[in-house]
Amino acid sequence: MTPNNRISFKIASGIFLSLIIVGSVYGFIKFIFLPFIKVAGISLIITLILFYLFDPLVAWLERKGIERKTSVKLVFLSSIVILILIAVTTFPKIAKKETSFVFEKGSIKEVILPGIEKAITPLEKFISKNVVMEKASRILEDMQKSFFERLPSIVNQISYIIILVPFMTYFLLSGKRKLLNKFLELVPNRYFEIVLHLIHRINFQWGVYIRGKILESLILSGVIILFLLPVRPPYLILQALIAGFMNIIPYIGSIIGAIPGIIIAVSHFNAPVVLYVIFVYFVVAQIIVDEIILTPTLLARISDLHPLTVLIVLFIGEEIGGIIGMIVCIPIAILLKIVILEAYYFFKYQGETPPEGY
Amino acid sequence: MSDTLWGSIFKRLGKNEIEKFLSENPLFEELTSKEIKTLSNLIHLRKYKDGEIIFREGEPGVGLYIVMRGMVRIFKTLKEGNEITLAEFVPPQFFGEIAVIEGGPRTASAVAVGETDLLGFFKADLMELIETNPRAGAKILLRISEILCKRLRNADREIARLSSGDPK
Repeated sequence: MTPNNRISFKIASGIFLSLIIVGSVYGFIKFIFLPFIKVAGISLIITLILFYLFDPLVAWLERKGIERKTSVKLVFLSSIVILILIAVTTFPKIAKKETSFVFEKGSIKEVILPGIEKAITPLEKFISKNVVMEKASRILEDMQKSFFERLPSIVNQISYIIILVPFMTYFLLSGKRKLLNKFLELVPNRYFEIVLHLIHRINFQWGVYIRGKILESLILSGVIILFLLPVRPPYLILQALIAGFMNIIPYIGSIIGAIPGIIIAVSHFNAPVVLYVIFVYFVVAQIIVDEIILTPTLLARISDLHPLTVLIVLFIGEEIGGIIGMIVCIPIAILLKIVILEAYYFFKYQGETPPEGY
Repeated sequence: MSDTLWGSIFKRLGKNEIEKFLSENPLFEELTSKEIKTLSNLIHLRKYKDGEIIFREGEPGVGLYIVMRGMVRIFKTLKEGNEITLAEFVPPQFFGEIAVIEGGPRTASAVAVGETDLLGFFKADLMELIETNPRAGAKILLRISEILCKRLRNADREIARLSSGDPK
């Protein structure tokens, strides 16, 4: 082998090895690390939601003189019993009734397309019905195809989440004080008080936000069921739950949540009933119940964000994590607002007497 | 294995020491041993070096500190840059009790004199205690109120004495 050939061989082996390393790192990140991060992230979000829902119950039992660990076990056992009871008695009936459309018609496409067709028929003068129907059909087909393609990995991820979440929630509930103290031991003395103050403010705000939003969603779902009961639209519980829980996303959530209900109404009822359904979704549930009654009472103590900030945050959340990103981005924005404001005042007024009212 | 065992025994002794110290403090003298145990889980032990700042004037104050070892000097920095000492605290005295109730900004700065151990008890800890053990929370709240009332009475007396021109 000539010296030139030797150098070329070395370069070629170097490139080959680098490609193997880059490929392995890419494969590790794409197929192991990112799915793990996704599962861990979703598990953490559900754990935090359950933590903020269960913590007041645990505190209530502690007030009755029961030790924290026993209180956590009691809350856990009761929840499992309630879940099993629902799973055995009510859930199969509701699930069968509420999802029967897929089994009856064969696919979601068959259920939604007639509704869209009926809705755009009066607008035929302005838009091409065939083009819209073709596009809608393609979108729904793609959605259904990608859902079934991803089904095994979704089932896999859900099973991990089902195993991880109860463990994480149990340890967070029973050892929250120890975890907090261990973390605070790492914080330097100089910033200890401000960090503790921040943790308690964020904890309070997140608690109020998560409990408030879940209660708000359940009440809204209940109101929609109550007002739509005389009309008896199909899949009432399912559409009310979708509308209620989509309401967690500010501004656009209520619109996205109402779409399935309105499409179902359009495909099943005449114009006055459709108008009544729209009235229930947007006027009764959204304006009267949510904006006038629920928001001022349930969410009044939450650090308010400027509407423009909310929109920007929602856009970023959607870009990063889709619907889940849009739901999670608001509590994260609240956290950032608290941290930035407290840090600002901490450094601004250090070593001087602060003004009145600060 | 033995390290962990000894570690946990010494840790336990440290915890018992804190519980004993708390039970002897006038602020918590009304509490039962079970309530003291609950309180010791909420309290934060912090170790400071000589000259280390505990908090500065203007920072958000969220709680009180009990001196367990060493000394704490409370001071104010004047506009010219000079410091004036307002008070000095030694075990088992405590300072910053107004912040537990009001939670406003610190009105003076605090610095450790010599190696100092402090037990921090904060507004959020008191709120948690009130939520989970209202009886213990009420006892502490009442004790802090008594101390604040006593200080207010002394301050009133001092104002009256100064306004009457009495030098004593």
